[in-house]
Amino acid sequence: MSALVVAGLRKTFGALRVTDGIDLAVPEGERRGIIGPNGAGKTTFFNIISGWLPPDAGRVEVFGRDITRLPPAHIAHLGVRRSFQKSALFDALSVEENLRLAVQATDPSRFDAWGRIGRHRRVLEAARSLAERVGLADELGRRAGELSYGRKRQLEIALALAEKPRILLLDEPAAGASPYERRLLADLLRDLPRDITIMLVEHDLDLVFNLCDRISVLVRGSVLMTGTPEEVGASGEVQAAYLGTAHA
Amino acid sequence: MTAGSAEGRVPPVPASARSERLPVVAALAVALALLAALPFVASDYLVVLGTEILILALFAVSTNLLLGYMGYVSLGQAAYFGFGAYGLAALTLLWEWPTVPAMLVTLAGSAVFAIALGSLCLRTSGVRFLLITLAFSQMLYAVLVRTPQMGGDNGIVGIPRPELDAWGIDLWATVPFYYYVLVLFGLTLLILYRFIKSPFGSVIVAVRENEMRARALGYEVWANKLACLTVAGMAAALAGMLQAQNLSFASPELASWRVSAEVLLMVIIGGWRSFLGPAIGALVFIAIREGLSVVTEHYLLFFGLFFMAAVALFREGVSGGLDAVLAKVRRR
Repeated sequence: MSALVVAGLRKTFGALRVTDGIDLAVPEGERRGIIGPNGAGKTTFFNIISGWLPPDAGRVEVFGRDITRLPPAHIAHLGVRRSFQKSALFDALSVEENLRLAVQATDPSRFDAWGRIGRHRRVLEAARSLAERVGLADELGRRAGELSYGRKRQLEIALALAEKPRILLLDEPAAGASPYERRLLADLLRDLPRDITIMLVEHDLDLVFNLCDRISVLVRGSVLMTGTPEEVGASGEVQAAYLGTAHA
Repeated sequence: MTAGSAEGRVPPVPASARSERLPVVAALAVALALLAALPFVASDYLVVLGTEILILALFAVSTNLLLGYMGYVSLGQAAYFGFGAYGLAALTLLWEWPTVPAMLVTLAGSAVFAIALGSLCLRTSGVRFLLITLAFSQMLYAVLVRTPQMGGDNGIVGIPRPELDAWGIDLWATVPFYYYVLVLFGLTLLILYRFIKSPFGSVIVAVRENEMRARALGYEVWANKLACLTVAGMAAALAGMLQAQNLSFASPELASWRVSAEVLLMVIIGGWRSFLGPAIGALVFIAIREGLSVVTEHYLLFFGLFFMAAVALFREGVSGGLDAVLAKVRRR
């Protein structure tokens, strides 16, 4: 069964067709890279899937369920979680509180308007073990805004990982990271459970080619081709598309 | 557009600093004990002032749920203050209800009022939120001025206090009324504290820090925001009822933008980064008013100067300044 099906997705900003008929199907458990030159509509595509932008036309299905035009919070509850290109953290709060809020978001305790936070032990423990998993256990008490850049990227991904997502949308997780930080992030992503379906938008082609099972190339708002890293790497069309914008 | 904009927001709060502070519940207990002792050591004049400080402190702490915790600056909190005063006035004086049921119904009415207003205002944020809350509170003010049954411009006198004669308590006397206000103050602050520190309330801080991320995680933030606004509105309405009883008078002035602005000043002077900071702001506000109004009627001018000094000297208000001093002392 496909985890994610996108059919005929269109989005126009004024005269600009940012998304021009995207069709995609991602099988459950696949790690799918989305690459393409700047302005190909990658982030817009993610924003539509995760509910932040309504499409002009087309449909998005998650495990057979139509999620087009559902609000972002609802989509998150269906197991579709995303990270942001520019870190979107709770800067003034501790790493632990950031993670706790991420875990609590799908826990029934989020409706508790009277009890103490400490009473919900499972949420706290899940937040701490998530910190352990992503290598932030020694930063629990630090304010998110004070973390180093690479650690912010780790926390950014960690927030999307809370409570077992089924589909993970990662928007340039390594953007702006140093080579060392990139390696840490790559390890983190590689070690994710195989049953999580991942869609990865990334400019670092090494990362995409090493991590992904298949890659879709997005050019001018539609899918130019989908194939294994070898197929995409060998494609003259893809090279032309990249070179084409390089000249523009 | 997707929120998280810094426009009109309050600077973020260090969580580490917050959690390291004295447990607020303990501080509140000590403060309440000291406040309970006040009538034994102070003159009637100071007890009357203390009563008003408690009422305004309750109003300021509730306003800070929006300003400090949620990061939304409302310039319309006087609408709830005035709603409380006039709700009580209308039920008791026009329809001759007994006082306590009238207070309970006014409180319930303020929740409905806050939910209705909040559903409209919370479609905006930043400066637009400030302006729309101002607009709605001015609408209420205009209605009150044009309601002759309620005394119109002149207001309405004779707001009753609860009858506790059966228990030998006369709330028209200064000290019993002070204790009555103190009990409601302590109870309400405890409820506000439990609410804002609960799992549900913690999402309100997440909204201030990054509303977009809170929604991406799966929070339907509108419910948390509306609940916060409603709880704050109900507490402000209670403060308004107490103020009307204190003055035994309700006038449209209670719902005016000036009252909204003054409570914001109290919050900022006292410190929006702590739960009890705004209460200190109310104390400072009344102290300056009383101290200076003997000398000059332009006390607000001096209050403004003090405000600037407080903001310049301690960026986190008086309570933040005290924290900084305490931290230095402890380090030695």
